[in-house]
Amino acid sequence: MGSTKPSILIVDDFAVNRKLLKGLLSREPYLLLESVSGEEALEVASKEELDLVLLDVVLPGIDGYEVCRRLRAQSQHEDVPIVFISIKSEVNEKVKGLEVGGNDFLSKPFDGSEVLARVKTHLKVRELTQSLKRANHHLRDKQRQLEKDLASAALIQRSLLPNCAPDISGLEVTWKFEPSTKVGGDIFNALRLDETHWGFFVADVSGHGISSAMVTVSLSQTLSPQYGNIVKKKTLDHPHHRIKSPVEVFKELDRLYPVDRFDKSFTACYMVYDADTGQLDYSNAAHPPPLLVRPDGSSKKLEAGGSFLGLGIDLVFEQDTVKLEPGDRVYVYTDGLYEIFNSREEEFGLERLNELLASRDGVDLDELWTKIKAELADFAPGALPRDDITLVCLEAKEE
Amino acid sequence: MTEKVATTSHARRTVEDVEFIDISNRFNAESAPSIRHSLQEIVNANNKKIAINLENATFVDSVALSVLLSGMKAVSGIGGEIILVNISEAVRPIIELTCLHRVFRIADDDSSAVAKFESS
Repeated sequence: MGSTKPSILIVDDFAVNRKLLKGLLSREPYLLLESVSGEEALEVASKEELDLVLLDVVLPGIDGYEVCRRLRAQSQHEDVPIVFISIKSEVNEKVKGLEVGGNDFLSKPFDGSEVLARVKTHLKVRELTQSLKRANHHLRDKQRQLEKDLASAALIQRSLLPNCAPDISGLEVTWKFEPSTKVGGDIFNALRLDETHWGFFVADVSGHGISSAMVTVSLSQTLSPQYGNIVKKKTLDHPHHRIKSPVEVFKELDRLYPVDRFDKSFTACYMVYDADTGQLDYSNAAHPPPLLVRPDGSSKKLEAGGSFLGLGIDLVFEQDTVKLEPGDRVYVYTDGLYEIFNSREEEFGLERLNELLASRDGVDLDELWTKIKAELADFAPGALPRDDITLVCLEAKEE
Repeated sequence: MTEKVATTSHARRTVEDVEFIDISNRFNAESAPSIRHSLQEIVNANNKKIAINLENATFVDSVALSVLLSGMKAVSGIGGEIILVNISEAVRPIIELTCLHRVFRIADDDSSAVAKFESS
């Protein structure tokens, strides 16, 4: 309605009735339309935007109830107030009028002030409904825009993951990444530190959605070997850089990402692989321990590390080194892979996951992933992952 | 939402001059904001001794841990401390996995939590 006059359609086959109603309503700023039959009323309704219909029940041709039914079937008239005005005054007639979608029922002869009061009330309700609809429409538009933004953010985040397997002498790197919503808080990257050294970084930022994803973007940028001195340091002497150890990298991140900076914490695993020696240095910051699985099926949790980064206290981080022999695999993952609950609120858990990871029969990561997914689906049928899932596999190969 | 999963509730009480927060059920992204709010209130009132009782907590997620960590930073900013009390069997593994037992002091029950504050 807004600033324009509310339009009211008067449907009555008797000219005297229409005249009476028109005289009554013309005291208010309404645009008044008239129809002498149901058919004509439907035709007017198809051309004009109506704000209220005063509808006689007994009409030549289709009756008022049928007009009401047909108007209600049209989406543009689904919430236009329809007030029946009829000579019929029995309760069952009134009930019928309401059942076919009418909002009100007035009996003839009517009282002018009552008609006016009811028309005003219905127009007010109509106005409120319209403004609610507009607000909902606006919200839906906003929501669509947000979803579009979220989808773009997810694409940006995906672009931060390695786009192809890094070519590392003697080491094959494969991974699976599955965000729980469109954007997540997990990040994985393989960093070429120099000709023989590679850094691997897996982090899980608390929560998910845009804000967590933004922290992963920031982390990804911070850890880029081109950025500052975080993962390697320039030196004067040959080879003019020094690769930083996992603990040194954590010290930098500890300083750069205090938990109150983004109100987010994150767990992380950082590894440095030396392709010349097959040695893997690693440390975990509150991160679930990667699992080293040997070709004979024995396995070892890589547990060295410490707690969360960014606490602003002088926490000690430990690091350890394992030497990878051909056939050895190291699985690095985030808690989304095992923090899955069934209907009895039991957790799939780290131990079950580690058993699965250790039970290798020459399967590649795709097969293993399928197997894990099947086990998870068995354990918690229909459960949707609550968190992002990342699984990275480093496998030492014969050169 | 008609889901019948028990949601976290938390209650506050004071033992001597220690502010206790008792956490029940799941401490996760849904319940974290109200617990964060309680922690803020306690710190804003300049209370420096906070004990978080996890006896009836059945699950703690990463968002919840972030709340504990920011709470710890906030309270240490006014020279105070958070002690974790009565960690349930369900929650102990994640506390150990994330090495939070190196970050927070841990007490087995209320009275030893109070005693730990006295001795610090």
